[in-house]
Formats: sequence, C-alpha cells, structure tokens
Amino acid sequence: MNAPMQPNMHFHKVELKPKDYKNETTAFWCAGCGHYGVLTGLLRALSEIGVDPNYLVNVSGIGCSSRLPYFVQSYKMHTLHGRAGPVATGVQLARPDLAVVVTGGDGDGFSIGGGHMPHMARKNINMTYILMDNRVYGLTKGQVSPTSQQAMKASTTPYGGVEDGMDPVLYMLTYGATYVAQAFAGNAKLAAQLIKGGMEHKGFAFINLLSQCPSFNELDTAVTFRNACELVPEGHDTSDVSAAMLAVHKAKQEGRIASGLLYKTERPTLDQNMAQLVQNVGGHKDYDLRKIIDLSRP
Amino acid sequence: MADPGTPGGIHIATGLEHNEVGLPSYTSANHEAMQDKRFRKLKGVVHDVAPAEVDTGGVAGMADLGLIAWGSTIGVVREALQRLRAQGYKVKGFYPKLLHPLPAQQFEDFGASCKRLLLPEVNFQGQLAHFVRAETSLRPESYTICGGMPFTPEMIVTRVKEILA
Repeated sequence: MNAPMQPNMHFHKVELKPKDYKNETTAFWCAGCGHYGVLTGLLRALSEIGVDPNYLVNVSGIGCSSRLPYFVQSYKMHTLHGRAGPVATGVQLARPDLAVVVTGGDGDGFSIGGGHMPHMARKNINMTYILMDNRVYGLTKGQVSPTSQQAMKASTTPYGGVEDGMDPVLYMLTYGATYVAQAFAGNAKLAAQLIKGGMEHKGFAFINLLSQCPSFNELDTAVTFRNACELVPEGHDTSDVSAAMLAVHKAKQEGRIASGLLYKTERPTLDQNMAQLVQNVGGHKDYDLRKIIDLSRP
Repeated sequence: MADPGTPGGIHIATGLEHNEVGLPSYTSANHEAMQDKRFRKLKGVVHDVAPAEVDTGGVAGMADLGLIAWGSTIGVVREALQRLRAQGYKVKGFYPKLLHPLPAQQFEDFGASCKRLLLPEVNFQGQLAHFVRAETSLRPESYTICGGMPFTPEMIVTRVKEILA
C-alpha cells in the first residue's frame, strides 16, 4: 500500500514578486494576443508558490506559444516541434526535485506531439502541462489546428473546415491526467490559481488556457472566450471523473465552456513507481545519475 | 552548460540561432560567425574517428587496382580480395570509418598507391563515388547495384578481372 500522497512541497522556495520571474527579454507576441495572459498567470502562480527559479524548468516545443520560456526566469529548453512533453518527462525523471512546467500550443501538443499526450497522462508524470489553446496555427500564419472549430475559415480551409475540433480537456480526462483544469487566459487571476494548483499537485496536471489569436482566428476572440467560459458550479465534485466529463459536455451543448478545476485525483507518479522498483530490486552498485547525465553533455 | 538546479546558471537551451547569452539572434554577422564555428568544429571530427582501414593483404608497393568499400559491402570485398590475390592479382582495399566530413587525405594517400580504383556500392546513384569525386582528386570507377540483394564476392572478382584484362 502506498503512503498517502503529499502535494509538491519539495520545491526550493524563495520569496519573489511576479515581476521577478519575468527575465530581461521583452515578451513579444502580436498586440492583443492571449498568450500575454498565460504569461501573466504563470508569473503570478510562480510567485504565489515561491518556486526558486534556479530549480524551475520550463520546456516548450515550437509555435507562438512555445516562445514563452524565453521570457521566464528559469532554466528552459526550447525543443523540437511536439516534443516538449518527452523532453520534460526526461527532466522530471532525472531530477524529481525540480519543478517542471511545459508551455505549448494546441497544434504542438495535440497534432505534432499528439502521440505523446496520452502517455504523459497515463504515466502520471509529476509535471504541469499548460496548453495555450488558441485553436489555430499562428506562427505559420493561420492554418486549421486540431482544436479549430469546423466553421473556421483559414488559409487551409478558405470555404470553412470539414472536421470537428477536438476537446483537449475531455481527452486528458479520458487518458488519466490526475489534475485537469480549464480557463480563459485573459482571466489571469483564475489562470494563476489553476496553475498554482497544478504545480502543487503531485502528478500530471493539465491546464487548458483558452487564448485568443487576434491575427488568425476570427471565431475565437477574447470576447467569445470570456463570455463562453463559465465556472463549474460550486458543488462540482472534482474527485469524480464522470462528473467532470459531464460538466464539459453539458457546457458544450449549451454553447459554453466549462472552466475552473474540473478534476483532481491522486495515484503514484512515474518517478515514484520507478524509485519504488529500484528499491524493490535492491538498486545497482554502478548506478550513477551524474555519469548518465554527463554522457549526453555536449 | 549548468544542470537545472544550479544557482546562478540559468540559461535557455534552444535550437534557434542565438548569441552568447542564449537569446535568439538572426543578424547576418551572428549567423555567419556561428556557421563558421560549427563547420570549424566539424572539421575536427576527422581526428576523433579511427582512420580508414587499408587492406593491403601483403601487397607491397603499387597495386594494379584498389577497391573502396563501405558498410556491409566491406565483408564481400575482403573475400573478393582474398580470391583475387590467390590468383596473383595485386589488389588492395580501403574501408573508411567516416563519410562526413570525408577524410580526404586518407583517400588521397590510398589512391596514390593504386593504378586504378573501383568503388562497388549498393545504391542506384553511386553516392560514395560521387562524394569522393567531389571532395578529392580521385576518379574511382563506380559499380552499383540496387536490387535489394548485396554483392557476392564473385561479382566483384568478375568485375575486377574485366577491368584488369
């Protein structure tokens, strides 16, 4: 029997203001981009938790969204398209003492990196995945993404689309993410609260932040997102995955988007299971993490 | 680079062209300097890899023909060379360990010890032969097959005999 799960209290702590988590590089997206809201939410969450930037790793793939780590005071890796998750998984398993955050877009996560998403969830990697969901490929100037609405006209769908968009939140609930939340990125207070909860949660935390793209997505604007997002009711049972799915479906049927903390549960994380396995078989006398890491050093 | 969790070592690991502090930089001057640095480092790889194997099989001095082979064709060529030498042919083999950057001087040295060169390889275009002609002064004769089966020693023996006839 496993010991009761503790939240992520192992973080190295400091007292810093949100602006102290913003590094000297000027944040640069289009005017009115929702990603500024994600950044604001993240900086606030980091400050509220008080994570020491020296022990924080922010990993991204490719896309407008994936530029976010450049602006954060932390260790950061700007990796390959769709591969932020696997890289972050490696970081987390090698160094369970670090706080690991992935920031990436809907295309990067669910199209290019789509094959990785269920496995991060089912393996329960102890990290936080913030999906900056603008429902469009923005960096390449407007193509249909996996989360685009069918009605969206884009350079690849000049007469409107032919596919229904997927729902990242339902996907993650299905595949076993142990913390699933959703919010409009423009609501930085709620976003910060959900990110903080996700980072403190021991396990795979998935936070879908709906982020408008004023340049290439005319359907999903800040106004439509703000109006559509509705907090799950007060009595929502966050320990019930069926209730979470039902809340998402129900909101969708009524043209709304369920927001807030949808689901939270606890089960052993991959690094815990691996450590337990090593302990069970008595370890290995030649095991030296430092040597393994040095093998991949350039 | 510092491991994450090292106080004061914060940086970004990025695939974008970047400057000394890790921030993206697309200026012409920076890109040229970085390309220069990358290709300078690449040249050094030649010295880190074991030199090409020269298979003289006891043939001293100038060979009538040298065979250059790479990959799984090497084994076939070794056997073909043994059969040819047993019949009195003065033939040598050359098996590079590194194709890029091409160890050009090693190729030149081998070429200087052979009157003619044959380069059998299993691909339609004769890719290594093409590369050797581009990077060295050598002009090996290309012998290619691409049916999906490897060379047999007999095929090599037959071709060498035709050339030296």
